[in-house]
Amino acid sequence: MFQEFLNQFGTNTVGGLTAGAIYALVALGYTMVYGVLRLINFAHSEIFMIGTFAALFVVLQFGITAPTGLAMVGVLVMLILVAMAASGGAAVLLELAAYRPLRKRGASRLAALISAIGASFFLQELFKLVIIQPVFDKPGGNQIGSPRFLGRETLFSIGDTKVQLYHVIIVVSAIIMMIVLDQTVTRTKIGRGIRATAQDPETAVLMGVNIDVIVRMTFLLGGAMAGVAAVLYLGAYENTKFDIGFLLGVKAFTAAVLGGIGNLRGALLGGFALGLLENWGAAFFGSTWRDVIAFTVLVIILMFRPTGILGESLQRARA
Amino acid sequence: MLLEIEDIHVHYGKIAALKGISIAVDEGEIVTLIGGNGAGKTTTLKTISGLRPLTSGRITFAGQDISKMPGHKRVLAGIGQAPEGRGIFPGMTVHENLLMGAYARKGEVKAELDEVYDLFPRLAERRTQAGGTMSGGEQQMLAIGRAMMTKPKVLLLDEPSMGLAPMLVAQIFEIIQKINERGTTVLLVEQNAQQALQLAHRAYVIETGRVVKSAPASDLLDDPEVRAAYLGGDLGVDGDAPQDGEPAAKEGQVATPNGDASTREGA
Amino acid sequence: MRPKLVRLGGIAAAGMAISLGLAACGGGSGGGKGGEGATELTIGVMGDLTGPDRALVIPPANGAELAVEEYNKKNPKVKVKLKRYDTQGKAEQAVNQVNQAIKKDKIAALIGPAFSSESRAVNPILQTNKIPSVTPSATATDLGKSGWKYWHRVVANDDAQGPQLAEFVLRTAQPKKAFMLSDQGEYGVGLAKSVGDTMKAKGVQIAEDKVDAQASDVSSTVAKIKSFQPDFIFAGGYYSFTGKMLKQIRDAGITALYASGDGSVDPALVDAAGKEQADNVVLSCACKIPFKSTATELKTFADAYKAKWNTDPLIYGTEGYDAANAILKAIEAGATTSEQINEKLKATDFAGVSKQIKFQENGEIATSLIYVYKVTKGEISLLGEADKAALQ
Ligand SMILES: Nc1ncnc2c1ncn2[C@@H]1O[C@H](COP(=O)(O)OP(=O)(O)OP(=O)(O)O)[C@@H](O)[C@H]1O
Ligand SMILES: [Mg+2]
Repeated sequence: MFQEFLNQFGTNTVGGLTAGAIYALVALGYTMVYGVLRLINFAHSEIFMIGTFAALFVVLQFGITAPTGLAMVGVLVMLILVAMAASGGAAVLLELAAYRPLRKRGASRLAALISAIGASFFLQELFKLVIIQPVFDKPGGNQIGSPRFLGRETLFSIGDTKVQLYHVIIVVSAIIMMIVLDQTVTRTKIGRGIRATAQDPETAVLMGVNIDVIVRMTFLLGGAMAGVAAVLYLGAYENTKFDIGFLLGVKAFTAAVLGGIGNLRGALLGGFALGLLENWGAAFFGSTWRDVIAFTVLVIILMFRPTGILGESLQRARA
Repeated sequence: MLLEIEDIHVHYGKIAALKGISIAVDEGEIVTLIGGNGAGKTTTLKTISGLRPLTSGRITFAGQDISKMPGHKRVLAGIGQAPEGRGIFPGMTVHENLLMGAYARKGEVKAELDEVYDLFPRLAERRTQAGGTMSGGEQQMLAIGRAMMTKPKVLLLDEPSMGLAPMLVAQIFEIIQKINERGTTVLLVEQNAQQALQLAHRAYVIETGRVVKSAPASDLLDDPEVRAAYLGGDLGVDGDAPQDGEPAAKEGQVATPNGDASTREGA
Repeated sequence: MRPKLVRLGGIAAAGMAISLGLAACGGGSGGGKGGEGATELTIGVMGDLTGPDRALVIPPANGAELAVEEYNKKNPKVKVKLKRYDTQGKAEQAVNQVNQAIKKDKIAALIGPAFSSESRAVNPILQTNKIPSVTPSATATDLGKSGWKYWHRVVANDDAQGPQLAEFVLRTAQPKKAFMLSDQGEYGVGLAKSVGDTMKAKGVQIAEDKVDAQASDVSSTVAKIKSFQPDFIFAGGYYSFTGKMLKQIRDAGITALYASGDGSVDPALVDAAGKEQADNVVLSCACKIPFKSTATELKTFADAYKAKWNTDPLIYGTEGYDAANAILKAIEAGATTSEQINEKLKATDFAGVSKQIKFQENGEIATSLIYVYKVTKGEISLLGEADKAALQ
């Protein structure tokens, strides 16, 4: 068992980082909304799902197949922009329809959570029953494949481990997006508004912060990050389905908690940590134990560090 | 009148916190609200800032009815507040906290920053420290400085002396006076009635959501009922308070325990 | 296929209770079930017609309707009316439907139920009311061991598929190392185990892994397969899972022969895996699907089916047609009561589209045939019977 684990260590590390990058980007949405509203946006997984379908639509519409070189970069950027717009827009609408009315009425957090769960199911069923069939001409319940748009060329090898182009693209894109978001939250006015609202919403109003705008921006940014994740996901695994977000959402939320919910850098760390743990664990004990291992580690970490690895949260984070 | 509150009622759910409060603040004044715990002082300030909605009544500011104006817009209109408990953003540096004060405003902030750092040299020294790690007194200075960054026409202060050592209280009160002298109207909520009344021009006494007295501050200092209820039937918090009967004009009759408050000479 | 295999055991018992009550009401007259001199008989076709697994049931129902239409065109003495009963895949609903079919519509025979779970609930009721049934698609092995006297099926049971596919691969590809991959469901795990056990007994080295069908990242499993270096991979599960795995396995540069079972016999497998990656995949099924076959009997059926339904016959289409014909031939031969139809079914022996239709004493099909398919350039095509076909 241990020998096998060592043999596959490199490959599993590369795969784990790739999956982890996607977890991390999705985790950002959970973490930001939680930071600002103390709400677990259950429907965030569907925001991700919508991004995958938006990207798939463009891929099919333009008949994109296996672009290389600069063309591939161009395709990737275009897909990311489209998916960011789709997911970001969907997130804003979600907030408007499912959360804002409750917030204005000062409803309890439990009510908001129920609304979130309802919105999640609603969006899934909407895609399954109404949207997918006419747009993609496939039964709404089907898994739909995507043509290749991220190259599989081997860039370099470390021992037996081949690092392919798409591995690098995914990890690098995720890190770039993280830096962009981190800088947005640290340096821009809207970012200061987000942090102020997360840390003390009442005082933020006394500073002239329009909470409605901040909440909308939070959903927009979180949704846009899910859109980026969706494109990378589609590029890596080349398929999507109406309920594709569910398990991934659970994992991403776990990553957010693992890193310290409300903490942007924690989401990145948690995402990579979870991706690696899953793959290493699966190699060691068999894939059946994959989720068990990941969640066991989560429980253990939370036992000793209830606030996650980085501990701090957006409320207290200095950055 | 710069700020006029007419017969406002405010509820938390079904519970009435304010049951018809009327207060007026004229330009250039320091007006203080005193009252016991739970009287409704904080609620009054929150309502003026737009954090709590009115059930009924009217608030006019600079000739404009702002009763329905959302809170974040009132800041731009000229209402600044240093809230109860200071409301420092713990994860932001001192400098960032101050910049938050200028959040809604467009254009340069340099002049205001300089002025705040001039008023509170302590803050200038601690520019890059996280707000959450500052001492209570420093946080209070930061809260006031940050409110000043909004360039308020009226500055609402909610118990700036809460939890501070007497020496610091004196220093804070001196700065409030300085701020007022530089042209900002002040509405001050205090439990530290003695010093508030010495500083203010006029005062209102609030009990259970109603104004029970309003008079020039110096009159209330002599008022036996007020003395009994809020001034402990005796002098202020420390023995250095001014002599009985001495008028508490704003010209520096602030209780200062020692010569530490030298800055007031510079006003 | 067996998507609904796992169901509450209690349902069979409930069905039994209801059927007893029903027998009491019916007074044993047997009046509605045809009778001498009848000029029209009603037969039913039952299964999930509108629920989540309707894709498995609509082709056999349509095949049955085609058979009935062809029969009536011959102007027989006794005409036949086919009635559809929708269970939405739920055993409870199947019990309701069968009671209605017997009491109200007085069916003479039933094609179905489509799924094994439904069959467990419905068959005892049919037995009590002495109504014969022929199922085109319920493959659970235990159905043949229940001692039902009125039950038949035109498809091999689940015990046949794993060993026959394994033998086919052993005969045509001679693997030395085989990797058994499955999702974590009962169906996929069971089939992979059956294939693996057969191969192991023949000296093939076996490794295995079970993957969460919902997981997106399966790189650790792919790494495991890669380091094992198998020359054969079997994937147990449904097409979305087996297709997804196939894609990532091929993308990792693993070229071993890849096979899967009836859960993957669906053009959507190619969608999930990609056209290139799906090339040369081998699939097995107790069902016989014509696809683009040029064999006369298959082509005649497929053309007629397409002319009527404007779509190609997919899974269990031929079996639905054959099941209906077994009953229709009994009626054509003069059976006018349920009892008579059942008698004639015992002696049935004719060349159906899917296979020779001849039943064993217990109602099982006489020869348990498994068919193998292969994907070429994105199209699934029939190779033939697993024990004879060659892997071109
Ligand atoms: N969020 C709230 N929910 C319900 N009741 C509240 C809330 N905030 C204040 N109250 C009630 O409203 C009344 C006025 O409270 P307020 O905070 O305005 O008093 P205060 O005069 O500022 O008291 P203190 O001197 O203790 O700060 C009190 O009875 C208080 O219990
Ligand atoms: Mg208060």
